[in-house]
Amino acid sequence: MRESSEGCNRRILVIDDNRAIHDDFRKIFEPVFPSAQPLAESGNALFGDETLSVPRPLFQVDFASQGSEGAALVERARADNDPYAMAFVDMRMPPGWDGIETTLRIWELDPRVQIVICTAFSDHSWESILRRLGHSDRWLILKKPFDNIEVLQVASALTHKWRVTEDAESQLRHLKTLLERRSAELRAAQSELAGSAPQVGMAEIAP
Amino acid sequence: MNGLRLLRDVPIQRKLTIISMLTSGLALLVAGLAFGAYEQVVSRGAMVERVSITASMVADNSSSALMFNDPASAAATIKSLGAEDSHIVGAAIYDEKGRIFAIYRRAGWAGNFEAPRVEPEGYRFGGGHLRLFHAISLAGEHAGTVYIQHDLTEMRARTWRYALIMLLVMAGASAAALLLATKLHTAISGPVSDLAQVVGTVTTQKNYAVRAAKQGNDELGSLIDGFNAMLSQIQIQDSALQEARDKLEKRVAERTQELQQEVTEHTQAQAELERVHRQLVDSSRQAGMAEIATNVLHNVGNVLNSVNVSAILASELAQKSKADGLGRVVELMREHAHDLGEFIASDPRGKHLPVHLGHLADHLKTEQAAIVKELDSLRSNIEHIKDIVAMQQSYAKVAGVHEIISVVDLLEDSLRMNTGALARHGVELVRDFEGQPLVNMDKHKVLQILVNLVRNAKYACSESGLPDRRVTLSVRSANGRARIVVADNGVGIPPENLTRIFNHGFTTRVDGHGFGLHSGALAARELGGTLSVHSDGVGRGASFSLELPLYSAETAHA
Repeated sequence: MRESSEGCNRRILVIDDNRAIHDDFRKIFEPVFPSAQPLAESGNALFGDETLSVPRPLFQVDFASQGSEGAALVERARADNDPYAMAFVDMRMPPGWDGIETTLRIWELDPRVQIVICTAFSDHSWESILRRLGHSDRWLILKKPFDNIEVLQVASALTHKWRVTEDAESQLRHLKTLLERRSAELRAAQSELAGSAPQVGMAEIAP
Repeated sequence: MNGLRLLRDVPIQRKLTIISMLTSGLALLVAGLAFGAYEQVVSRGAMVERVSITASMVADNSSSALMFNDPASAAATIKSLGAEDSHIVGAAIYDEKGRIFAIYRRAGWAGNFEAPRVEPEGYRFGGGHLRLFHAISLAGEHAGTVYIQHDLTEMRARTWRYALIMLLVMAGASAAALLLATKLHTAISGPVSDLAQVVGTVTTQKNYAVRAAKQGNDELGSLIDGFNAMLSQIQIQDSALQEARDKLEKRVAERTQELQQEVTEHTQAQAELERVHRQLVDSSRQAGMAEIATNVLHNVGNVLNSVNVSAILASELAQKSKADGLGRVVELMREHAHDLGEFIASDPRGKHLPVHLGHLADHLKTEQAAIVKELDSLRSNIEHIKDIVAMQQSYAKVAGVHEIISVVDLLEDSLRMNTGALARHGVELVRDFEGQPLVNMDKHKVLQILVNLVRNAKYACSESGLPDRRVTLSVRSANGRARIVVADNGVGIPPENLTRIFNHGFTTRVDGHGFGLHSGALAARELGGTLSVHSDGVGRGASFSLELPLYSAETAHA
């Protein structure tokens, strides 16, 4: 199922002090070989039965080495009205903020960003993370070493969740405006009714 | 004066004796001499008087004889002299004209009496005799002269007697004086020698408590009083001094004790400080180890992540490989084996065959490259993990087992551990070993250092980009130390880095961790050796020297 509907946000931010991890994410999110498409086309022409392979969802990935750098990117994206849907945040990033601090800073800037905290070593217990981040559906934990499909599915699901949340909110907003319009109409109708037929008694209104 | 000088060193007792003897002797002598002289004068006077009386008697008796010119009666008169006085050796009577009228010679006198020429009345002593002339007068007329010669033997004998008596008296007086002096000297010399003794006691024994006994109120008494007063003064001062000294000694002792206590406290404080420091070092080391462990786990986790990603990618690539597409093409070609040319040339499907084959070849090539890339990444990542784990082991190892090992064997081991990397980077190894020096130490520590050095040399070579990559390993032993040198012709070290290269966390490599050389230097020091570096600068290679104490049977038994 291709996600091409309006409001879909594929922007992902990776914050990790390790360049090798950046490369790992890059490899995972990288599109398939460019040579695959012409091959598929010529194969289809030759054998007639070839179907185009299902392309992976395409993500737009940015990288930051420190929490502060990541927060700056989030702030700019927000200002450009091109926000990140989610961020993979490493737990240990000496010498700067740790993953939790970074997460809190990001949420201050943009509370909609879905966070995945990556940790290689359980130097923070779940309880200690909970204490600082609170019970929330906005963050997940991904233990290193992670699997390619884990990352892909997490990214896929959370970007989808971002969109759904956004949709829900816009739906809510839409309903709210609808409700307001409707109540305004009702109020108008009521006053009109009251103005045109003042003689109508309470008995008529009552069921 | 000589006598006085002689007396100077004589003891006072004798001095006093000599002085008293001399004074009493001199007094006696003077008295004796005066008495003698007086006696002489008196006895002479008496003799002259007696002889004068005799002469006047003779003159009276002989005046008639003279008048009557009767020499015989005159002679008889003077002859009686002999009976009267035996000391009259001769006598003569002269007439008024001075002629000898009568003469008398004492019989038995040894001398020869000759009447001298007449002289006027008078007497004289001389020649051991008294010679006296007495005028004879008759009725106021000079009638003649009497001459008497009297010897002095009697007087002389008396003089001798007197001298003897005087000598005896002097001897007796001297003896008495000596006795007296001996008895009396104690009055003066006694106190003085007492004083001297007291002074001696004070001088030799430093005893200021003794006092000289006072025996009188004379000058000696005041001297002794003064001396005693001086002694009292000295004693007071001495006791004050003693007290001051005691006080001082006490203070010194107290201060010494205080100082000792201070020193003890200081030592204790120092020991405490050392203990705290050691504790701090221990705890910081533990904390450091915990930090390292956390770091290591984090690093391993990160690298494992890359390993995982690479492995999955590689396996995906292999699984999804379009290599099977080649099979289908081959099958199609086999189907059209009889009219392959026409199939390619004119069949609407067949016309795509060459293009498809081209695409397939391109794709497979890309696939292969990607798989190789991932496998390479896998291999380097696994090596990285090995490094991290080895490092962790080297830190975790606290006490190792000492064994006697060959330095050359260790070097070969370290080369073996790096074989893959060395071969991959095309590094040529040059071995320059002399002898088989042995060391007695923890094998793993030495190995850790050597593996590090070899790996660093390999990195230096591979980073240089030179076609000629060489690592020279040499082993020497001298002065009880084994010297292992790992030299490369790689990138070299800028001078400013030579001092920092052993610092913790110092690295020039992107993926370096910066404690290989640091822990190497520490380990070398722990092993009683040194790790040093030399480089002529950037691009001129570097050499690391590890010096270790050689094993010897003597030191092993020591």
